[in-house]
Amino acid sequence: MVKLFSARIQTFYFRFLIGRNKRFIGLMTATMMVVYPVFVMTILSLNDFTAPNELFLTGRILAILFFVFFSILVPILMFGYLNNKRDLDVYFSLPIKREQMLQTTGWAGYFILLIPFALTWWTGGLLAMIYANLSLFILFESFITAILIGSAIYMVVVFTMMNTGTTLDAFLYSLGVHLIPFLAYGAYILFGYSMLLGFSDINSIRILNFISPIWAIFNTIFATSDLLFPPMAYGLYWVMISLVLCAVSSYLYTIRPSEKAENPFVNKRFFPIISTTYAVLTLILLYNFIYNTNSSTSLLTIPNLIFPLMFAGILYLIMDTIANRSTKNLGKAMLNYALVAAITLSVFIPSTLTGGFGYVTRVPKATNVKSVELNLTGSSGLFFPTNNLSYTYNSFDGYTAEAARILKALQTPNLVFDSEADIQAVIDFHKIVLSEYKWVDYSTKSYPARGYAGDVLNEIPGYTPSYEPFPFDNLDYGTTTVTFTYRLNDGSKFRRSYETSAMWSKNLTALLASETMVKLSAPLISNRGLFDSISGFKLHDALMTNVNANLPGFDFEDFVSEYLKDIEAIAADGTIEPTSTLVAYLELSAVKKLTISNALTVSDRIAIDSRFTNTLAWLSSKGYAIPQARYDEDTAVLVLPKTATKNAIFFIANASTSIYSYSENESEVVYVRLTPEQMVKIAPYLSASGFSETALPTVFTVNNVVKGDVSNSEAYNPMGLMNLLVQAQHVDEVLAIVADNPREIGRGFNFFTDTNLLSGRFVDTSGRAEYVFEGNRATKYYDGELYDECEYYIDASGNHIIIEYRSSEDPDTKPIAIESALWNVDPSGESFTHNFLGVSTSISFEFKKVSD
Amino acid sequence: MIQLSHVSKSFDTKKVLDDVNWEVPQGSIFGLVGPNGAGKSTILRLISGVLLPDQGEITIAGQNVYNNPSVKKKILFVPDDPYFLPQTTLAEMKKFYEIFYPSFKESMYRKLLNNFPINEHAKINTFSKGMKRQANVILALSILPEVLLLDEAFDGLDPVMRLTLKRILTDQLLERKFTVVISSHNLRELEDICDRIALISDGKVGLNDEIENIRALYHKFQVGYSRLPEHSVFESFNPMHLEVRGNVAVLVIKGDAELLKQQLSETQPVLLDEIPITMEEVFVYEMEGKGYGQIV
Repeated sequence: MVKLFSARIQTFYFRFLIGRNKRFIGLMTATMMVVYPVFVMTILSLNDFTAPNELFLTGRILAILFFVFFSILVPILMFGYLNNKRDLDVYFSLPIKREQMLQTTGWAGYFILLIPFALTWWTGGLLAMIYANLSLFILFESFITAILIGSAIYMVVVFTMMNTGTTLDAFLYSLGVHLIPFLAYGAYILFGYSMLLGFSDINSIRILNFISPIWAIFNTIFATSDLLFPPMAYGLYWVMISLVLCAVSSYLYTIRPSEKAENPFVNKRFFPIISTTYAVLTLILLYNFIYNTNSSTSLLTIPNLIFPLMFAGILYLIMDTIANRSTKNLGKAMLNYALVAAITLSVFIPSTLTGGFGYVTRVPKATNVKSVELNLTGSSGLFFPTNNLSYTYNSFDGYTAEAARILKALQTPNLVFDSEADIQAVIDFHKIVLSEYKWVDYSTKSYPARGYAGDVLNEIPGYTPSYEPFPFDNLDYGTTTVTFTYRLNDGSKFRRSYETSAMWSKNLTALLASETMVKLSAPLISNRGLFDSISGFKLHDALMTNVNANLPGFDFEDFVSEYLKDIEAIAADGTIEPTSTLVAYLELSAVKKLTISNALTVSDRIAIDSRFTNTLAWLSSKGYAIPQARYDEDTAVLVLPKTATKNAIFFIANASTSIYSYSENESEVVYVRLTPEQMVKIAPYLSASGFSETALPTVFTVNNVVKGDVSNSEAYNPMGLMNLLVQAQHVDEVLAIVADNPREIGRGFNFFTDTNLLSGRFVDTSGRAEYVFEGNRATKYYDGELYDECEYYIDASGNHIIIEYRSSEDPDTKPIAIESALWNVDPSGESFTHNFLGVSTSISFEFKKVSD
Repeated sequence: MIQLSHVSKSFDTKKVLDDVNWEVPQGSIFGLVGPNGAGKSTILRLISGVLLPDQGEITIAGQNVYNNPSVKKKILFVPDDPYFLPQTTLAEMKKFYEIFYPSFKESMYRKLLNNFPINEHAKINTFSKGMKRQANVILALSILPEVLLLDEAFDGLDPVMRLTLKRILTDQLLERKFTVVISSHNLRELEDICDRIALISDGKVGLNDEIENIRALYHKFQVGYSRLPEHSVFESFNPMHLEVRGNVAVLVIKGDAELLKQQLSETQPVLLDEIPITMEEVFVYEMEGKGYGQIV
């Protein structure tokens, strides 16, 4: 490495090389110009200089694609002399240190590569700035990232050339070396999924950003949503790798035996390493692939083994034949492969038979755990406090890595628990998951069998659940992916991930009282440091029927200080029963400037119930009045539980989002319509959060939006439908208030069907799907053709139109697909998905109304 | 002085040079001869730093050559199959060499260019093999190297050009002192220009001396008898070569000429003449003695 940095570039030779390659630079520039700026300009001119933003994205992707291609081609051309003995007689006899020659040729090659890329990128970028308002910062950041990561793509080829002796081998093995990370990742993922229950691939795709520069260059520049670090940090990482490769290449160049030129390899260790790597990875990948294709087969069967062994073997022999340019070595190659296969299987088979040497069954002791993080993805059948976030940004260049990080922190925060009781609750749940999976015999069943354990379990003779059941039974639909990340006292951490059923998670309700969970309902408070400013404060009444926007001198930090004190007290109290009364909402907006011309704006409503005594006292002391509620007719119903009901709506209170539940056992419910006067009386007895062990009457209220015509301006109305439980101690009083109301029977939760129906035509943003709503029938057209016709519902929140596709007309049959249309967000922005309790699949899409 | 100390070099399993110790005095014109595959080109590549010896070291004026630019800038290696940059001209190759060899002399280049019928702006890939070699020689001599290594220097040159090259080399040697090592199969060519010869065979440097000394050591006698003596008589001279035709024997013997003559005269010949021996004959007989070229 020291020699590497002490070797200076021979500037005269550097210039000579640039001069000699002028025409090649011109050709590369022309090629890249054609696929980006010229292509973009052509499309623009054909469309009156208006074009979708994706056009420029396509151009940039093509530019990077060719940059990658030339990064592989240029070093092969620049160092081509290494593969010819006659050329080496001259080059290696020149009075220049070999490491200096490598540096000079290498840098000249990269410079030759950068000239066309820079010209193309900035010409196209200029057009993007003019016609698509693309920010200079994004262009600059992408450019720097590309050239930094590109150096690693280039250096991998240089490194390969230092080991090979012909241009063909240099090219083939350069591609081969670049392919290894993808093969390794595939083998790793398939092995984990197939063999290791609890294997977590959460964010594992990010590994590729660190092992493959080709993946990294595309992923960091064009897919900013899941990056751990800013794009340029990856660039710096790959520059470090380039320097290491450069140092190794420099050493190999210095000792390169010129007499080996024109042979396939000049380094005798290179081919065995590559061919063995390919054989091992192919063997593991194919074995797991075959094993996965049939969930009923045992681990070690001849059919499972024969194909992977033979395929990897043939691959090995073909590589050996190409390397030796002869089949004479086949006997020896077969022996070598037999040895490689035997060693691979001798590690692989015991690792699977022992569940990854204890990987599968390991659960830490609570005393060894410093903290545990829960991550829930997919349909959330588990309890999860929700919020009322909505956000806007410029959809073209506004979705920067920073925006992605902020939104992730707000929407899918890490649930970290560090108290002993909380850790124990999580560990107990982890043990329940393992106990449930034990029925599936996970040591011999492959992933497909384990992935749907919930369905399989009930068919197992003698199966007895290891979990405590919920008082309701309609959470059995679908699964949730739960990832446990334990941080141990010794500084290490380990992670497990499982498909779990919501039914297993009763003991996790204990976590609802934890500070971590309580804070989730007010993410803008926890993450206020991420924003430049927070403003737009308004107070709403508990049912969002009235607003007080006149809050002069509102000091948010003061408010937060009181709010956090209350959260601490609530957590210490530990009660999860719905005993508090919802009092008010604080509405607020947070702004983060992303680029010169763009900012991310996030809005939220923070629920304040009777437990927030400090907060309420603070509001009162400042003279910030909570407005009086103004109830309308036909906006609220009280749903009464039947005896022994097991419907979740009578057990879970939720003010933030609705419960849309497919109740199999209770398709009809009894309810009463509430007058405004009755609502005034009942409101003090309603709880908006908590979980009850017994069924309680529940109030559903709805805003006005879903009742009338919808326009964009009206669509963004924070008022939604709420599922409020009557506090247990006030049930009798509430029933007395509605004693004379007529009892009605309704199917599902279409209490407001008469008023909630839509009318008109709507199209999605692509313009291809069109929905026509008449009565409670929805007709979907796609590209003008009739696609489907069915009933639709507006869900309990009023925020979603639910269109069900059922395999039969039987109303009790589970829907086979659901389309859920969000319409309370800006149609030009990104939609976000609410968590549906008990629904496994939801597809969000945007649409806008077409004038009738 | 070029010095090879205990130098060994193998290509895969074949040992091409085995513990070679060899010195080339400064200012000498050394001819390097040997059969095909003996290692002549390998030695030149080792001296020029193209190859790294497996064992031993190669020094010039006491400095190791491999990856040592300060030494290598004094050396110019002209390989048997000259390389030029793709699609290049002699003028462009001149620029290439000027980058690496500060000693490159423009006036010498112009002077040499006048001696050869070469257009410096023509693409070299249109040149014949001989013209390419001429172009290479022009570049090599323009650098004014202190050590010039010529591998099969006269291959591909027509007789006129061979003479021209020899003349130019001779003129240069008269103008300034530098060391030349020329490998060739053509001993006649080397005889004319070299002052020293080394014979490479079996991975070793065998014969290695000034040409005059070699000539003084190897003698060819034609001896006629009225009655041919016993074969053992000739064998007692340990001849490198013995040829008997009727009553006349031709012997090639290493040793002191006068002493040999005296010893041969004691065999009572009717005719005893010393015939001039060429270096090529020396090479052939030396190699015959090692079994080279014998049909089995």
